Amino acid sequence: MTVEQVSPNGIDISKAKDGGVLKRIIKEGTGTDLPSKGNKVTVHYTGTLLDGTKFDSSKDRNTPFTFNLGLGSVISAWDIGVATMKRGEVCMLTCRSDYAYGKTGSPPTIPPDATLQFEIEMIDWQGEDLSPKENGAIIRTLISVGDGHSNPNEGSQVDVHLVGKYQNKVFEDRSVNFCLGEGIESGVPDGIEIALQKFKKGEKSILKLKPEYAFGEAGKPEFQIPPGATVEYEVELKSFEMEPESWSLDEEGRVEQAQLYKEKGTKYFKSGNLKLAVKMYKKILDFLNDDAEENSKSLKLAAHLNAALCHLKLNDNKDAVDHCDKALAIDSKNEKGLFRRGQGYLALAEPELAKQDFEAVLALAPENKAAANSIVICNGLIKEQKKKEKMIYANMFEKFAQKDREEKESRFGWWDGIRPVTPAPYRDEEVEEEQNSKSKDLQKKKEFIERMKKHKLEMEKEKEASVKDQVTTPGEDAADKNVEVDSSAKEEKETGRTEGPGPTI
Amino acid sequence: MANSADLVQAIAECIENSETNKASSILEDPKNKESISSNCWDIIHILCAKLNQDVYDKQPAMFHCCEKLLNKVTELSCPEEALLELIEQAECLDNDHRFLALLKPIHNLLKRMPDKRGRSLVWCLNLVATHLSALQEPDCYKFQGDERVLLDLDPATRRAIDIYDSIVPFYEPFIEEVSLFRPYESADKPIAAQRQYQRYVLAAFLIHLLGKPLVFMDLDYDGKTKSRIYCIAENIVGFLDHLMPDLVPILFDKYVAKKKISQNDDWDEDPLKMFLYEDKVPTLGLANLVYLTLAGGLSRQCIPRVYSSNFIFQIGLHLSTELLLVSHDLSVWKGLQLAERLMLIVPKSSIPFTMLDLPVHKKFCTTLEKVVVYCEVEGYRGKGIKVFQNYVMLMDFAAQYQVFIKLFPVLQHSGFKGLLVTMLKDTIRLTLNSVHIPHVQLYRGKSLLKLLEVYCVVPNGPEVDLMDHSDHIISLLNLLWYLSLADGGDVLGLWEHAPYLDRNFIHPLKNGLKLSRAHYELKIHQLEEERMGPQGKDSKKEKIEVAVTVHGQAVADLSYEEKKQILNVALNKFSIMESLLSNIREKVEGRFAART
Repeated sequence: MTVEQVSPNGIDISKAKDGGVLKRIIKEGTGTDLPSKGNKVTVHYTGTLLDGTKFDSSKDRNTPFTFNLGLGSVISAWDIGVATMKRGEVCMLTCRSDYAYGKTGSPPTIPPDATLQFEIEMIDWQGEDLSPKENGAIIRTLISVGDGHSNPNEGSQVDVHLVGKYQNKVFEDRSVNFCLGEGIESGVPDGIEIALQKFKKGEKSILKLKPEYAFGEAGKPEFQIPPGATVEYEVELKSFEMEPESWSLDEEGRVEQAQLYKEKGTKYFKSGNLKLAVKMYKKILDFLNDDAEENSKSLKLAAHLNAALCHLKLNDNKDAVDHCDKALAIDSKNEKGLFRRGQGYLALAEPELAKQDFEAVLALAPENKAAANSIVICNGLIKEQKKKEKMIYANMFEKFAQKDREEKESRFGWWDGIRPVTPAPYRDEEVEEEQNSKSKDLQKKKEFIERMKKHKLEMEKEKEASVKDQVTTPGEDAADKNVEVDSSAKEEKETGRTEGPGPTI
Repeated sequence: MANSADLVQAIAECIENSETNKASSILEDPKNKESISSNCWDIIHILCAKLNQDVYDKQPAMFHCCEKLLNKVTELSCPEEALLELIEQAECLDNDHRFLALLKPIHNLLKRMPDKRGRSLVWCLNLVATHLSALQEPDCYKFQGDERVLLDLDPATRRAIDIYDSIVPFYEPFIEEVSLFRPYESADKPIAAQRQYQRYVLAAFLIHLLGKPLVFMDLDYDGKTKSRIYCIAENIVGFLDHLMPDLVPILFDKYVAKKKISQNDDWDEDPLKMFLYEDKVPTLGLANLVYLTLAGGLSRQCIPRVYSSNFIFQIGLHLSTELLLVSHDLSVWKGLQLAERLMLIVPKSSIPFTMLDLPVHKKFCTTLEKVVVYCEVEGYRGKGIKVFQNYVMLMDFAAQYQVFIKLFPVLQHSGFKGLLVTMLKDTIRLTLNSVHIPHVQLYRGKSLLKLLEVYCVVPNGPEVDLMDHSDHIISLLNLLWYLSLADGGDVLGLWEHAPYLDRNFIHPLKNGLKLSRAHYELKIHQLEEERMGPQGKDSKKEKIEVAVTVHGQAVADLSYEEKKQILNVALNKFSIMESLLSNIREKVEGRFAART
């Protein structure tokens, strides 16, 4: 045990016990309460240099001085010293220069390296009132101060931990991730949402909420909270969404941000807002662009996969394939990546490439039926294309027209009936949870595909026959033929459509 | 004179015929007291009509007589009525004589009605503020050093000084009434609130006075003689000490916390809110106030000396940026002075990177870049560079890293980018031999490479005209060369990634240099041909275009020699780059070979 040294200027109250802040009580205060961090403290003070020169005093202005304790707005000696004062207490703080204005001083009145003395009288303090009407309905008491200066805004994604207490009994204790302004969906009381807009990253505070900002006149029976109850929440803001160009984001901060965007993207995906979801996934990639860290890798992988899925659903198949390529560059044996790229290729009328991917999926996961089914589809298409090619090269007359058609086929594959149906959807734990419920539909679709395949083959034969007929008709212009082929194909497609669902019902 | 209509008539006639003595005797006559009081509007109207430039120049006696008579009339009449009429008459933005002549009677009237002052005081102060805002702004003369003494001769400045001189005493008694330094014990809450309100109103208008046009005047004090305008500013700031115990929360709310004003906010309930309104309390006024108190050496009682330096720094940085943004050289000067001062109050390496989330940092840097690159006064540009260097030195190593990596892509001018590269070099040099400083890992291995990736970019690939980017590319090559020489043992872990640099920077740059050099050599060749070739024959068609822009304007008609010089400068720069580049390649390849 070290005995505290008492100098004539009082007790050393600095954390490091380096004698930087000395306190001598002139008049004892009342009660036992002490102000806590973030409290709005009102004091009177007179500051003097060691030679007795007065440099500033609130008493000269007949106005007490008010500041928020513990936030670094005043010299550190004050943040330390004032926090130890009771109501009505008067003390003398002796602040060494490293706890005051340091080597530079504060010219012209405070010289460099000056030790300052403050006689401080604690008048009162109040919890910080965050309620919009400033009527004390939301009172914040800081437990630990956060970093930096930014606060979340309306609409930013926040990651918080809540511990709700009523009459000192904990009624909820959970982590929750939501969009500020939509907290009601996650059962977050209004008062917390309002207060969070004044939180900094990493801040932990106690919020005292009056009923109008908590559970109101109705109370909350499931938590056994009676009507009109004032509740207390311990809230920690773990992270929140910031502007990407923010200068205070380091490695870790960017991964955190990416995580938030992922949550946001998933939310948009679930609500069917695919375009916004893609935007969020792209933001993740912006944040992480060329990070090579392990955890950012997995995030990037997920972002690419999810973006690919959204693109598939939006029928932007080229983008989907691109994203899958990037995902596979990170993890070349990713089942989802391979499967989705296969789907993309299939939709782009590239059955051979698609088949390779689906086969790779099967090699990784032999039980994957969707992939197996897709391979069957691919095989059908490849066969069909081969036939077509044969037929085309057999007819040299058509050389020029063929070129046009090939372009059309790759662009409007579906138009010519090359792409039979949307390939079977594939379950994805990350974003497709909602699809669990659809597994029955999935089964039905699989059956449908099977039937369609048979149907398709029949159609192919018919189509082939009709094309051959037309091609062999002499004396006709190649371009005209082309148009006719198209229109006949279209008709077929249409008939195919009307007939298609027939057998499934 | 029994009939009041006759009285007005008689006065009008006297004034018209310049019979000033007669007019004053009518007004002096105690019998007319009541008629004058009831007809004060008409009489004031008649007298004010004579208060103009013409009368002031040609009949000064008449002018002064009217002034005197006005005072007399206002003494006799009902203050509220007379005040309204006087304010209306004083709303003459181009007639300073009338405005100044009416200030005194208005002042007297206000003093006569201490109880009902609230609104009428606001009207009068508003009148003053409007008149000042309408004054012509002093021109930008771009003087520096001793030349700045001449600024006091600017007509707009002189006019403004004359008006400021009369306005300042106008405020004094009202401030005296509610001064914070005068202990006022009253348990009566409404009275205390009324006094508080008057203080805030006065303070708001005083800050208004510090805005335009005062912010565009020379407010430097050399420690020997104070200029007239400096004395005026000193008075205004002195007044504020009587009114505002602490300005910092207002500045914090307005600029750092960006407190928003909601539409139904009324400052009758919370008069402090009026400081958030830009039209009531202009930013330039506040910025000027902060400049005067922090950098100008004026009393700073309204910024209590208990606030931490870092806290004041944040606020000051906002206001300095605001001053730098205004395109008037004296406002830019104030911004630079303030910034320079701020850099001194915060200890070096003390700002952590978490502080950088304030958007003001980016704004400050980009604004400063504009000043450093485009400001026409040479001294200011130099000062800007110093301020920027000091600014970066205030950060700890982690924060510096963030500034280096985030600022570079937003900068536009190659010269300024070069400055940043040189500063990066200095920082790396500092970290090179000391392992124990915090965050030193950021300047090692992967994270260093990441930093260099941002820098080592050949803009737009090899096809770019490297002349435009030469400044920062030369600095970059210098940096790389320095690293290759100084870091023999690969302490930084950079040479592991040499192939990357080689592929993404050194190669494209090499190709770019070849192309650019060929382009410029061709131009020189064409230039020679143009000169040698027969005069007049197609010479116009094939004229070589060499454009030099200074301050956004092209310098016209360059002579052959000048053109050639410009092209040769470019070639010279390419040579420097090439030489550096080959040095670096040699080193890089050497290392590469050593490793394999």
